[in-house]
Amino acid sequence: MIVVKPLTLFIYGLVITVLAFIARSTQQLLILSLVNAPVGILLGFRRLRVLIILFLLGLVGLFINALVFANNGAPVLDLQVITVRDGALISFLNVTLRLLTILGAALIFITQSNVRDFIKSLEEELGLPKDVAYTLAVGLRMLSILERDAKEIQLVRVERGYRKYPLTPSGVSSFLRPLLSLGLERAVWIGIATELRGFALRSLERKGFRVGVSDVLIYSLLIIQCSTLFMFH
Amino acid sequence: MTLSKRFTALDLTYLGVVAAVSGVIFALTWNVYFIGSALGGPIVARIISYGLWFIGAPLAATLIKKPGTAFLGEFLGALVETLIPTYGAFTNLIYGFVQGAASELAYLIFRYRKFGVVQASLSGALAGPPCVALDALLFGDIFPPEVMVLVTLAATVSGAIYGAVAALAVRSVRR
Amino acid sequence: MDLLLDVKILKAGYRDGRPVIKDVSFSLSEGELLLIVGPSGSGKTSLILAITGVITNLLNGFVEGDIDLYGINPLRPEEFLKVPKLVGVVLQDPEKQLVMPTPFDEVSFTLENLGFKVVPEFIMNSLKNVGLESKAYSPIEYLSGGEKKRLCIAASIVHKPRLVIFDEPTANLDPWGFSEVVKYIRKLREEGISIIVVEHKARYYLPIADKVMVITDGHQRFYLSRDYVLSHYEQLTKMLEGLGVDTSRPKLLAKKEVLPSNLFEVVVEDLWFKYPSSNEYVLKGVNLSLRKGEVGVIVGRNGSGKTTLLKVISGFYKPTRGLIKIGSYDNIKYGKGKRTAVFYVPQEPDYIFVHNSVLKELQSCSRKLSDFNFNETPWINEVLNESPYKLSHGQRRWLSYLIAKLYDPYIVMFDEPTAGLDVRLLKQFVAWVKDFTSNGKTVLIATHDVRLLYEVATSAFIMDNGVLRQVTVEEAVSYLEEPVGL
Repeated sequence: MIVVKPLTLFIYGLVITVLAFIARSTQQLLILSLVNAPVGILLGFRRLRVLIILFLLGLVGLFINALVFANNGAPVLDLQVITVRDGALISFLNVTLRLLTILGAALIFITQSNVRDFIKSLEEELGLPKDVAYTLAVGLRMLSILERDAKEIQLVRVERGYRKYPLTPSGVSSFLRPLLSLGLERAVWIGIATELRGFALRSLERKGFRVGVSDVLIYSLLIIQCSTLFMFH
Repeated sequence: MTLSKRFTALDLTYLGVVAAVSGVIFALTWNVYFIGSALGGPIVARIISYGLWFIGAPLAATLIKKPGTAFLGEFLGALVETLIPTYGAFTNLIYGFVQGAASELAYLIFRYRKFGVVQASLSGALAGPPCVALDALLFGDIFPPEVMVLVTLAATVSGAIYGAVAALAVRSVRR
Repeated sequence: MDLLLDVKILKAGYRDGRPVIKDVSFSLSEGELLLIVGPSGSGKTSLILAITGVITNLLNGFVEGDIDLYGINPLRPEEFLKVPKLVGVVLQDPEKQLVMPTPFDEVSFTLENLGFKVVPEFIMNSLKNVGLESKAYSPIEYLSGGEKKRLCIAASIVHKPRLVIFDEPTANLDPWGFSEVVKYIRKLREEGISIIVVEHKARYYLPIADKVMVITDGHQRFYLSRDYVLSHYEQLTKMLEGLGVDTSRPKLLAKKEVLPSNLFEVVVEDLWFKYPSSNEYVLKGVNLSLRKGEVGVIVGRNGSGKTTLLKVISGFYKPTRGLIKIGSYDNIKYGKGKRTAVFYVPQEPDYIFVHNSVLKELQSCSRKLSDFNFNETPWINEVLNESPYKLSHGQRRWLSYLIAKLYDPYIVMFDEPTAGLDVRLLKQFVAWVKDFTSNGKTVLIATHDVRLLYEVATSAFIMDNGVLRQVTVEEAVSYLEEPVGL
């Protein structure tokens, strides 16, 4: 099993995302998406199939968007109601490829990394201040607790005759308040416990970047994609 | 919340909770956006959802009342959202960074002396224009000029409303 | 013996002019166990926060007095930084202490903070001491309540502090969980570690305490030595009971009178339930029936399925198989401001509030406010315009019971309604239940609190791994008392 450090994948994902925006031509986007999207979707299909399906459904909206705002150029398809021109098709293709690239890179990161290792390496290798690393750790820990809270809140809302999911500001407020109340109460005690466990004294020795073989491979892949981009400028 | 400038573990834990709550809200807001988009187009979609995407900053700042908390609340919330993960994936980080910085200005203007509903509302509002700008830059969401103005206005107003909601919620919950 | 801790506090509190601790002084020598008892709200936890320096350094409060902790003064900011190395503090609720993704990380966190090099074998050893080494890398979410508590203990003492402080160590735990913790504290005691235990459930610790301090309303009432405690055990326990401290084994009262009613309010037949995303049944062929006016109490371990049963009966989840009837309804319908057949009261009152003020909460239920008098809760009138979240914990619980009542259901379900409540608040809950059922209403409670069996149960059930069986109240009591070894 190839084990890649989460930090590597994170940097990979971030750079690919930026590249996806820099790339303007269809050929460049095609390369990026062909590398990243299939891999990402393959890895992510089991765990995140809902996200992927929703994404595909969202493409319909993008197509309509392209028809409305970029429908110029030579006509391609004539449906009685509207003529689809190549401008729209290209615009749609570009945006789709771009999004596929970003999605692919994200899926690669999410499915292959262990969040705990990620935060650890942020602190030890990247030198992220202990304060931010701690805040992130708390945030992630709170996520599953919050999910539980949200479910209970929804139950009681239904029981009292209110909407499960709020849509208006006052609805959002009524959902937000219990989440905050419970979260903040936990925060006070966790904060006290953390201070009593000596957090103020914490200062991890920076271990510097550690790179393994698989990391080198990923970075090479990244560099290759960057350069092909320039080739097709 | 403590008086010294240093972030205590208490402040950081509050920030962590806000990041988590914001991350969850950011993730759920995609649904609101799509519903709004389907029902009323880009302007309605932005009015009912964009403010929710800016909510990390006013939440954190109203709660912790220290310089930098608005930015961190928004950015770390975006980071949490990236790790969930949701639609925007890594782009959320870019938005979070820019929106967070814009929101922070609202508190900087008052020299970090006031952290009330007005400031919260302003911080939400200030995140609107840069967000719309990023949409245009990154996703090609470019509309004809009159529509652009309305769209920006919608985002800003939404931000103002939910900024106020955030501050009022914090007030109502703090013991 | 060396004096490890010497405390003399004249006044301490969170806000100027409002002291929560008044005139407390005690000391602890190396190897001693000090038990601090008192009812809820007496200032026990605040005392811990005061002596560790948290109130002054973290919470902007004040402490007037002198504290000597092994030569340092925790009240001063520079010396507060030295406290973590000397002291290990285990707080009440593990969910409000754990921050890392896995037990291994959690224990490492403490060591890293204090500047120790993390040696994996050392960490695994400390996890082994609390029986968690097989779960060292499991996500913390998957640990049981008792396991989380043991993890908190491991993480707080891994650096071998001189003093370990436990704040309500058995709160939030089911009897299986807290028997483990009590055993562990006894083991620490035998190893000669100095310990302070703060509790309102005194009876488990009285036998091993070297010193006992009783605190009510922030004042120190008694400060007793072990010999005194042992020779005056009976009087002491009576006095403590009077103050609201759990000391003696509750006695089973005479059989409760049930209203002569043949009418069944709740009938559950052969109920099977599993969550859509899972293959395992959480509820396996549950049969349950309660008559009007009855109080059914379901006991079982955390995770046995009690809460799920309540939620399925309340109509939040559709049963996979089986029948549920409430009164004459087979189908529960909810609506805004509408009366409902069944009302589920969650464990945390905060989940139940939807509005910005107490008044709006009460008005949004189905019954008219004017139908009710608030003689039992006169304080309500003073907080009508406050946000419900600003009330004290006890008040919020009361508000949630009121809301339940105002929906005028046939049956109210409670999920662990008395977790962490002391004798005085428990009695209030008992009074509420008696009042509610005297009008022909029914109550179903899921709990692991043995006191509820004694006080209110007319029918008892044991839930074990999804299987429910009806038992006598006495049998249910033994089921809960047995693991604690009493």
